Amino acid sequence: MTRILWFLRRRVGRALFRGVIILLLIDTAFIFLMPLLRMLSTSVMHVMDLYDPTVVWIPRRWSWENYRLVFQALKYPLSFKNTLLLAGVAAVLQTLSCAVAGYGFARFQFPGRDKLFLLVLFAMIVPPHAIFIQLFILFKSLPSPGFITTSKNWLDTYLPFYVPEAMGMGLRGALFVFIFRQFFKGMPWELEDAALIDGAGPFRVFLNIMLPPAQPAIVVVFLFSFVWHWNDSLQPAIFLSRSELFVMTQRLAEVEAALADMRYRAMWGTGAIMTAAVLTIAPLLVLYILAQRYFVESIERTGLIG
Amino acid sequence: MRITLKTYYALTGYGFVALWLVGFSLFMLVPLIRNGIWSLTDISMKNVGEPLNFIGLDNYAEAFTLDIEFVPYLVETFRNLVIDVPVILAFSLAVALLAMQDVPGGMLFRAIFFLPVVIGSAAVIGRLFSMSGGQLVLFRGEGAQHFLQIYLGERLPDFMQFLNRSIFVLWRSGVQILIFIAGLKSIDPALYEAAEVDGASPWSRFWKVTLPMLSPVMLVNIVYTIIDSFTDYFNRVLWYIRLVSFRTSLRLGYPSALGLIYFFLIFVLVIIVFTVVGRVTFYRGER
Repeated sequence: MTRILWFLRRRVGRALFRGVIILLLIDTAFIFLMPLLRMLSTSVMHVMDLYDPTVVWIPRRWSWENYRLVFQALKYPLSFKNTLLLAGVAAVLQTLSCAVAGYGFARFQFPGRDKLFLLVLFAMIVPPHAIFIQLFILFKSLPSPGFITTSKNWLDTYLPFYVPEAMGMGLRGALFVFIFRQFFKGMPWELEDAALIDGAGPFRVFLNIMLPPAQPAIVVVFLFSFVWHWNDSLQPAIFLSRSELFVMTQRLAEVEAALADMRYRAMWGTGAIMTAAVLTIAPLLVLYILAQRYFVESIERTGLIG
Repeated sequence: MRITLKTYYALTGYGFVALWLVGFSLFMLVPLIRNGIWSLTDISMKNVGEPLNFIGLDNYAEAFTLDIEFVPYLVETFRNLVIDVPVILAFSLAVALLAMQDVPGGMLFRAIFFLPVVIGSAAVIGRLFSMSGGQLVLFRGEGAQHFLQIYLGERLPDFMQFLNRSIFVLWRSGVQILIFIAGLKSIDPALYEAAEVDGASPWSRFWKVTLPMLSPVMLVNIVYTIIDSFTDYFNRVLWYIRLVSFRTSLRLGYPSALGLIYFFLIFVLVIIVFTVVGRVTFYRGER
């Protein structure tokens, strides 16, 4: 009898535990989703609804007016194209160059390697603000290559986002080198050894043998790099001043500045800013929904910790 | 000339990291050094290119004495850091543990938890919190407001700010969750089995197996969180440096000094964390 009771208690305990876990999961998921949902719901509300205390999540009067106006104010097609160009190319270059450097640090013995790797860690903690004046001066002094006719120097071109990235620096480049190094360190040596014995050169080994299995790390780094470039508002604000080159975050700041004093007079500004925010991250959301399954799996297989 | 295989590999190794080293020198080391030199001068936008006029440590002295804004911002940053780091770490560890549970729809939950990494750009999400309607996020219904007003009275705005901030903090823990999950996955299941056979309860398994095995990951996460807070979009020091650099004055020496002071503080803090936390970190392969 006591055994049956014990067994029952255990069963009930387990079920309760599971229930609590699921409840907690739903709760946490809600915390994560709430700002997003709030943004979406506010953006489609009519101004009247914003004043109406009985309207909480679902608008009583739907309004697409915000989207129409903000779409124009953001110059959406142009800034979308610009941001895609900037973030896309920068992310591709950064992923490649960081993979190369990470592989070098992970798989070769050379004098001073560990000291040089300390530089990677060092680069991770330098805040961009400690050097951006110098970078501004540097890019201002560099002559632009012949094919760019609109600017005499590197300012007002996308080169400040491409060239450092192509060398494994730029936005959090050192972090990506670190991730790749940890990943490559964890990979078995057998494949490499076999290829080397078969007479493949080191670069060939890297390209044909090591890169394909590194796909999870590549996915994670590319996505991070793309997203962080897309969302970066510091560097574009410093290096780009011509309006036809503006990226999304710059337009967003413009819209916000334009609405700044209006906000005191009307709730209308709230809806407009929410709409601008939704439109800015909408492409990332679509990208994430498409790549989500792959991304989640990749993270679990990256073995970020070697 | 004949070279040994070892030398050949060493040279190839240099070849792989050479590009990064060049990039590091060009876009970080040289700017940092030049920044250090400029911080000792009174250079401004108007006389860039002219011979530098050294004024010693005046810029640094000004930051701590004459400037009435810089030090309060610094203090605020450190205060936030002390609060944020434990909260973010505890929260992300809890979420990582939750996300590891095998429940129906686990994949969906994990996808949601990684959402902040992908779209959690402070620049955008932050719009929600920086706005006057910050409390909109939590309680839109007037009822809740009145209810809280009764209990909190004049402290309501503080409370709202606290709530907003805590949700904002939780939103910044995406990468940390991800690192914890990777760390949890790398723990050898045999350790749990052994503990279970020895009769350890889930509670003591967490403290005696999970946490020690997770300590290297914890170190990584602490350092990442510190760096992340220091370069956060809403960090007031950074806003201030940016403001001084490009708006209010044409001086360049002074913001250079501010940037360096800030960097130096981060550097010292990270070193301290490494030595203190590194001492209690447990590596399984070590004796």
